[in-house]
Amino acid sequence: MTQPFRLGAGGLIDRSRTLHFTFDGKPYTGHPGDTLASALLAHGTRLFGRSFKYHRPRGVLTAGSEEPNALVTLRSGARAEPNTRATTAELFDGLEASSQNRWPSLKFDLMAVNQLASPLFVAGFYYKTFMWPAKAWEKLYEPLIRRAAGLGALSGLEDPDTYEHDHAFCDLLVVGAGPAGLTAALDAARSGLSVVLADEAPLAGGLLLAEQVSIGGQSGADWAAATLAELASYPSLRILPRTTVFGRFDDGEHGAIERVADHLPIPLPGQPRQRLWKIVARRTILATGATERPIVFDGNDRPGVMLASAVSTYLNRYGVAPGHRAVVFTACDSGWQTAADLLATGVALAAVIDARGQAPASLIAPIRAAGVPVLLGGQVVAAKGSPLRAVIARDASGAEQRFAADLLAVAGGWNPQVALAAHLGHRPDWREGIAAYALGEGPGDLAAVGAADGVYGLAGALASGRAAAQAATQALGQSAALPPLPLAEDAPHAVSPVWASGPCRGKAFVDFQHDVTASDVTLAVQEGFTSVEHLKRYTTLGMATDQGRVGQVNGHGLLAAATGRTLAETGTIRARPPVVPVAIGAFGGHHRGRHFRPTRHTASHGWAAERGAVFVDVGQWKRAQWYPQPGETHWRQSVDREVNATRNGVGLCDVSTLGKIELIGPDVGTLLDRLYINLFSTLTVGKARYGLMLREDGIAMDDGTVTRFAPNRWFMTTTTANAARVMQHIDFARQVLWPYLDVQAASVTEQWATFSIAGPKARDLLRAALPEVDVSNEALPYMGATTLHWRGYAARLYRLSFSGELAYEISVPAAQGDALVRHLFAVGAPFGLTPYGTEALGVMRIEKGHPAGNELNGWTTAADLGLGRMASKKKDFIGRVMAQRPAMVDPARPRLVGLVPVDGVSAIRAGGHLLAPGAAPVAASDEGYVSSACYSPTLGHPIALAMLARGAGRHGETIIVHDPVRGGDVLARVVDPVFFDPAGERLRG
Amino acid sequence: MADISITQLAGFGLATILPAKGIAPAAIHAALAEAALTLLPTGPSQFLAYTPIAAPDWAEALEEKLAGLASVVDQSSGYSLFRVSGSDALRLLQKGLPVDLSPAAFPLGAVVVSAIAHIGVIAHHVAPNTFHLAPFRSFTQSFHHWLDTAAAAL
Repeated sequence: MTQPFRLGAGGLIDRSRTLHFTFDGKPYTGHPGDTLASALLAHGTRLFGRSFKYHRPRGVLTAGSEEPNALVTLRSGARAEPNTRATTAELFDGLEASSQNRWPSLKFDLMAVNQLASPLFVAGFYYKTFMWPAKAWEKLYEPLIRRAAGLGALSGLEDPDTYEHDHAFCDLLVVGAGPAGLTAALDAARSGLSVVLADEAPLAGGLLLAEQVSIGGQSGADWAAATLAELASYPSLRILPRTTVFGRFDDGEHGAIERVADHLPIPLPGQPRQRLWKIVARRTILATGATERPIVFDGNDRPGVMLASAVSTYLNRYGVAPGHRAVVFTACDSGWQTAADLLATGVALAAVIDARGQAPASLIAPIRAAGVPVLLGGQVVAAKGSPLRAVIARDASGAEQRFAADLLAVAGGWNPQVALAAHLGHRPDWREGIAAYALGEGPGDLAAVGAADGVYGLAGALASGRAAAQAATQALGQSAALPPLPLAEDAPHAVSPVWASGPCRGKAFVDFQHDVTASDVTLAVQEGFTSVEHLKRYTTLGMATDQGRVGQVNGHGLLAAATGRTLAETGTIRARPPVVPVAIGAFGGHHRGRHFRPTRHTASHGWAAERGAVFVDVGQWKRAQWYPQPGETHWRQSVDREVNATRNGVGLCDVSTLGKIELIGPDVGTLLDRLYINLFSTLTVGKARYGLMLREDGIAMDDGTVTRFAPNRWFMTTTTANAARVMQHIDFARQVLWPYLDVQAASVTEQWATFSIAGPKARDLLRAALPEVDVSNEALPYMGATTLHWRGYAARLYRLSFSGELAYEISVPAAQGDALVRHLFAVGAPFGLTPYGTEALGVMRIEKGHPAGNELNGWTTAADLGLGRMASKKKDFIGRVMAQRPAMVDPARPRLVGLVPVDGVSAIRAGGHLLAPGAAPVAASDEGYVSSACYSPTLGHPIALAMLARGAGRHGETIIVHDPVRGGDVLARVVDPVFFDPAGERLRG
Repeated sequence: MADISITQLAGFGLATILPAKGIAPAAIHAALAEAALTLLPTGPSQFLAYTPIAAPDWAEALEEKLAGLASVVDQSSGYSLFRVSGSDALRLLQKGLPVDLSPAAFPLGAVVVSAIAHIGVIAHHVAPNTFHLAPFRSFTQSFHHWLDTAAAAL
């Protein structure tokens, strides 16, 4: 496999080793050190992809992460990664790449007919086209656009690789390991600062690797390698190669993405594919360099048109000639260096065209000496051919010339990369001397150095790196004696920008990735979008994955020209994170699949799993929902059995997920009186009481019980869902509202495993299980509580009932929970002890009309829930005043009622709306909703709890339960919400 | 191969110590000077007492010792406890903890109440290159998964 465009020598590639890879199924070769782009260019590949909107054939424009054109899909199958920039993808043996956005093939793409319809796809195309009719959006426009536009496609398979998060804290973060960044990092490390040096590339050195320069008597690459080795000797310095700092946030926090294993076929065992860093730095130095600007002219997107710096990079770093015969079109001095590089590597140079009337003689002389035509004050009018075959230019006199060429190197000037500085709101200012937007008055803890600050000369870059490091060092109170900087020269770097060259009548691109042309900018201005931010949104200029790094400033130049403003007046957009695209998987880290969020297990989880329990997610908790037994084919069979076994014998349910709070101190009673609507200070030791607390606005917040174990020792339970919120509420009350109250509080939700034991045989079971405890009705009456020791551990026994049965709750330290549940079942066999899950728990509480989460839903008041009479009139409490607002006490408010189907069999569905019989099923007729519904095995028919307007006085009426989503109206009778044992005889037995 | 060892501990005692109003932390320290336990500061005027081996009634005995000064709430079952040691232990912790663990910020004996992988955790620098991590008990499996994944990537 020959590489006809590979130079015989030079570059940072290892010609002694050959790597094999494929592009669109065709085999190619390259060498270690290559990128996918450089290896393909070595084979003469010109066509890399198709553009977003017009499907224009596109080649490589850049040699860096700002590449807008050469986006490919890397790898295949589950590891396929679309929109990978071929210019940064490091070559490895066996790499598979494929082109995107083309059908049926890259060379012959049917969607290229979009170009013929280009008058339709002008600026503001979406806004103009989709005004009418609205229905056509879904059926016509959207599917059409989705097929026509877009980039690569996801594999749809689960990513087999892992991603992880990491954190770093440092005195100084240096972003970019070019000459200025390396100098800053080294000086800071010498001065004793802790430093993180993050560099996007696999090799440190930045553009030093792409230029023929001498620094301290060494080549740029050798100096960079030596400096990196010296940096590695400082333990307080961490070097992160292949790491892009993509965002800057408050308090010195930065987001960075490290491509740990992207350069390997597959990650090593255990190795993450990528690592998301959170880097907190006291100071930041941006040594992010500058990105070269293209020039806008007709056909400037044709494969073969390339940025001059990219041409130099392919020649010098990768040993690849991106063409056989080149033209250089420049608006600045650096383009001449590329011309010299082309000559030095033996590429035929057809012409050098400088848009400026003059250029330094030292740059021109060697080019002229080689016999190359030089057009000062010339311009390129059009690039012809796809791939490029000829360049049409005009000389200073206006005479047109045609140069046959397969490579056009364009140097439009440089844009300092200061997007990171802008993330916190600092927009770059126009700096006339370098004709670019650069950091103006930036954030105080950040400095830009080298090319990122418009200092393009090498000696100047080194000096600016040192100055910024010294400023950071001094600000952090450190210092050190530093050796002199290595000798380097400042190459000339004058620029006189050209925003549009030639007539720009055809396809003259400003934003390559989003296919925004010069005429789109003109049109936007005509239509009044003259602010840079409006221009961006109207034309989508700068909104592609390259974030406008390539084309944005050219767009601003055209906007300035069209509006008669200066670039300083025009300004530039505010950059936002991320600077480069970051895969969502990296943000997810290891939180995926089963570990999408952490799960919580109760102490009896293992035991329940052994019993074959079906688990349900309740917040983060896994709770046993029911325990199927052999022969049960439907969940209702299991749940009905569990309810019947509990109501007729004894059942056990793990209720450990309830929030638990220990309250200690002489003022706990006072605090509880203010938290709950009912009185607690009167609760005697050894007793528990049910309570309801309100939010400040008078809406019910949470319910639970409080038990007093000693004069100063109390214990509160909350609902599972509100455990953390109630703890916060208590801390706020005791620390902020009433700090003078002597109350200590600690969450003990995790400390205690609690089991509810309910049913007529509950007492018999406990007598057998805890023979040393007196559980008689006299010793432990309903709402009584006591402490005991179980196997030496503190334990608590409460006589509480949620099911309406004779019931107890027993708590032991969670580490003993598994042993306790096994003990209870070992002892409980003769009593027919049956485990029940949350479903049976829910059925029994609906049968008893207890409000739960469905009713404590953030809309209901105490009175709505039928608990209004609980509220004490002898005291103040949180929510009392606001609960008296007229709308809160309106008798027409929905109140808790029970519903039973009139036909005795039809299921009532939760979520159904209540309508008077005969009323039209419209919102105006709505009288309430069903909050909880189930089949009651105890009663033998469906039941439901509902919130019904004026419900308390409407028992006996019939009402329609209307279900517009699932269909099927049910006629129901309004009844008291307590369906079963309304006198509560069973729980006191 | 990464130098790291991860052990889940058992049999330890943990208890929240809540000083009564007006009792200074120094008084708690003084009262417990002879006790075989470590006091981990976990909040303003709040401590977690730790002992590696605890009798079932350890917390009750501790409360008697602090009578009149502080209340004691047993948390021995509230947390699981992992001992992470080795020269790569700090790297592992720093992956998870969004707080500065440099020697100046997190010296020997330091305690931090934070979160790892969305799981509340208390971290304690118990000895050179040795740390205790205490997530809430119910999260043990999820936390273990993070530990294993993060350690494998060292």
